[in-house]
Amino acid sequence: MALMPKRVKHRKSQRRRIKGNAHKGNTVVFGEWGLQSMQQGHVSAQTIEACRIAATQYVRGVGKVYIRIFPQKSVTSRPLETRMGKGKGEPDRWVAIVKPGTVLFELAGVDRDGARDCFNRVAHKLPVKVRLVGRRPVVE
Amino acid sequence: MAEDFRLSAENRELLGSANTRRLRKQGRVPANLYGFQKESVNVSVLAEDIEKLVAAGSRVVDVAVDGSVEKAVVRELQWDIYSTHVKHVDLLRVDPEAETTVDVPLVLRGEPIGLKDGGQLRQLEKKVTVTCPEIRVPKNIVVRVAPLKVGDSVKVSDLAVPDSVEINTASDTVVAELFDPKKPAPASE
Repeated sequence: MALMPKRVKHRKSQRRRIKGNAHKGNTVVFGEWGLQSMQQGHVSAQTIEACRIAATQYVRGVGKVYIRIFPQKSVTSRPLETRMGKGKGEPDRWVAIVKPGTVLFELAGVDRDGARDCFNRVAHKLPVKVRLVGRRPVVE
Repeated sequence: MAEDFRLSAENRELLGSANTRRLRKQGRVPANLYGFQKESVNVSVLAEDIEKLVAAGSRVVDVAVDGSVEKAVVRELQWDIYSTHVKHVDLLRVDPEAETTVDVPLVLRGEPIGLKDGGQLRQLEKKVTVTCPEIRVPKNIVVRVAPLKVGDSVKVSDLAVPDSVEINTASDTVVAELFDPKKPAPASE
């Protein structure tokens, strides 16, 4: 089942503009490789689920997939063939807000080529341009 | 004094975001050198040098500024949002002579060959006490357990540490052993 919040304070939210870059969630934390967004956009819960299935099927038995985004925002839509007016539409889907720099998915237990192949399958399903990133080097 | 990664720094007179942005366009990275009861200095270093420093992974650096060389550690690196280049470096001056005594964790590495013969690995010590220069405190000490057969053990004296690090824990202390689980444990007196 696709991801969605358990409980929300308000069922419907305003659309709002996505401004700026991701200053949180922009580094690889759990795995060794990450899929980083280069654009802003909305990624729906269904898309996240499709990406998860594509990634886990590729790395099954070898690696582990981490999902770093969550669809927190509701998007409403109007039923087909209805006239305008009569208030805001009903919630239709849940989306995650993605800013440039956001790490969407992470992979552990695979090498660079494996991660590239796996994320290629995932990238085809996403509505934003993405790139493969590794862990940020640590100076110690 | 041991040779460390050398950073050539230039004094930075023009401060503020606009000047810093111009500085970055010229291929330099703004940095601050501070601490050790001296004035904080605004400097800039070559972006290429920082890339080499990050690739080398060395924390301790010799900063050459105004004809003098000062020992410093990289306190913080600020990255851009895509993690492709460093935007700012914090350099903390340190006393290269100061020594400290700390507990350092032990990390087991490898799979003992005696595991196939029914042996079981047991780690008896989780950390050891070491005395070393403040700037050379190891993050952990690696215990190689791959060559262990059933009945073998690794003692503190077997641990490989850098020359500047001295282990204070008794040298005959057993760190890890591969024991035979079928054999009864010796009765304690």
